[in-house]
Amino acid sequence: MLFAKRQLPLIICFVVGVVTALQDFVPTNFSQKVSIWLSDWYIIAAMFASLLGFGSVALVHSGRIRRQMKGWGYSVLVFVGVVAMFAVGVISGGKEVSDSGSPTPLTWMYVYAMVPLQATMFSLLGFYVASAAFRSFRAKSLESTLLLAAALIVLIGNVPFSNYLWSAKMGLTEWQGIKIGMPDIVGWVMSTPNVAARRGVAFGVALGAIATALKIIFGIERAYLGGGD
Amino acid sequence: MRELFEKLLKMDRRWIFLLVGIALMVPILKPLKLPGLKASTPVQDLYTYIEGLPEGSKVLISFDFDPASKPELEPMGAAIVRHCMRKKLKVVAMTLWVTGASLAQRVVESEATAAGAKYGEDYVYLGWKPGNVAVITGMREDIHVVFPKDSKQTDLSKIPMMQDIRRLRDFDLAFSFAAGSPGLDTWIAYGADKEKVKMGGGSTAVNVPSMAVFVQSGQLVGFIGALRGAAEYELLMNFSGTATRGMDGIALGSYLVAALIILANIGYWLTRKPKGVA
Repeated sequence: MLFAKRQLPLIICFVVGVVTALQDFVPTNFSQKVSIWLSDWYIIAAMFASLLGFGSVALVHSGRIRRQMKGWGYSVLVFVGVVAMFAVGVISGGKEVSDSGSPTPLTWMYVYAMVPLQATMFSLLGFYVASAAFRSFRAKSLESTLLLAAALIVLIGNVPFSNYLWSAKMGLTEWQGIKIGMPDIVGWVMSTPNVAARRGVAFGVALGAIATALKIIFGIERAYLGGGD
Repeated sequence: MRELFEKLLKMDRRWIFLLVGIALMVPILKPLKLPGLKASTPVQDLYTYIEGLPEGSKVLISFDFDPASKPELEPMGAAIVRHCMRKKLKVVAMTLWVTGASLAQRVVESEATAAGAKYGEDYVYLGWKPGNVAVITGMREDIHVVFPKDSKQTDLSKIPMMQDIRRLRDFDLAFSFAAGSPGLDTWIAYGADKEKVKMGGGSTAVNVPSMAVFVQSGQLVGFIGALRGAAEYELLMNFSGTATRGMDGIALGSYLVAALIILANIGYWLTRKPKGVA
């Protein structure tokens, strides 16, 4: 049993990891077939992961309902939503348009429930961002002052009307041979300090991901196997 | 003055919500038509690139977003599809986001109908396929294997337009309108760069700083940043769509947030206690 729980997953992980990494550098017909084959496996594994994800969500929310924790009514709504959408999907045969050409209940649920609900949730961000910026965006240090200045430049500079006032009305387009139009200033912030920082972060993340991948492939990192026997 | 700012800093956040609501609602009810909209370089580059494509060129458009980002990304998607149809390019549309499948279909169908394009000859909608990166890598090898059928359940082999489109490299230009991952960066890393396919795209405002890296490096032929980018593209296309109409709200909202930040900082400096004072 220990072999199935410990050694076998490590062997599978090592073989798949090495083959996946190598096939990308070997452009032959065989390696391309291996790539497609592995992609299919990835999709199958991802589907099982989705089921696992739903199982986990169901477990959490059923626990909340059972214990009647604060806000347990929302957990009931989670199940109502899942069951309703699933039922409507089955009734509609997974189709958006019926054979007669009319929209199915699935389309109705998508257009009139899911689209406005998701759009509303995302729109609320705008209100919370404004409130959070007012409460916590302070020039307390040199770094936060620089961040604040950059944010204000991009925020105001990205509005076309600002450029109209700045360039057309105030005539601020060039100073001693340097372009100082609003798009030029915003462009500089975005393409110089922003890009430099982003690249630094991207390199760091990539190197970290490579290091973690190597540790998993070679069995140094085994947390994914879970604890205990 | 100090007392006033102290009160202001302790303001109930619902007042801020109300102000934001008013700033966004007023231009919807009464458009201000603020001047100053001009195409930025990345948007102009994208437009010029599409203009330079010969008739019949093949274009892949991936609508990688869900209803949450619809107001920001749908207008740019619609503008690009409209441009492609106007230029008589062959459009293959798809999505990597399951909840975006219907949105993408609606955009493509509505623009195609308006342009009088014929399904299967001028455009095809492949729909959604699970797998994210695996879908892109699979499309590098054989699109017909990844998508054996289109969204209407027709075999790809029976669709005239798809006869000479088998691999990602068969496209003259690929797009991704992305709200996150998988999205534009995924397409660049796993698809376009590997197959030397020209790539363009657009993203939501929060992702614009991340995408600036790819614009600067030249990995994107052009880029549409958020609703403003979409409005710029509509301007180039000579029509006024939802993006153009939304610009007034963006302007007032941005000015309001900027004013709140400046006021809060003035208040902070006026009301802060000197060091050492409890």
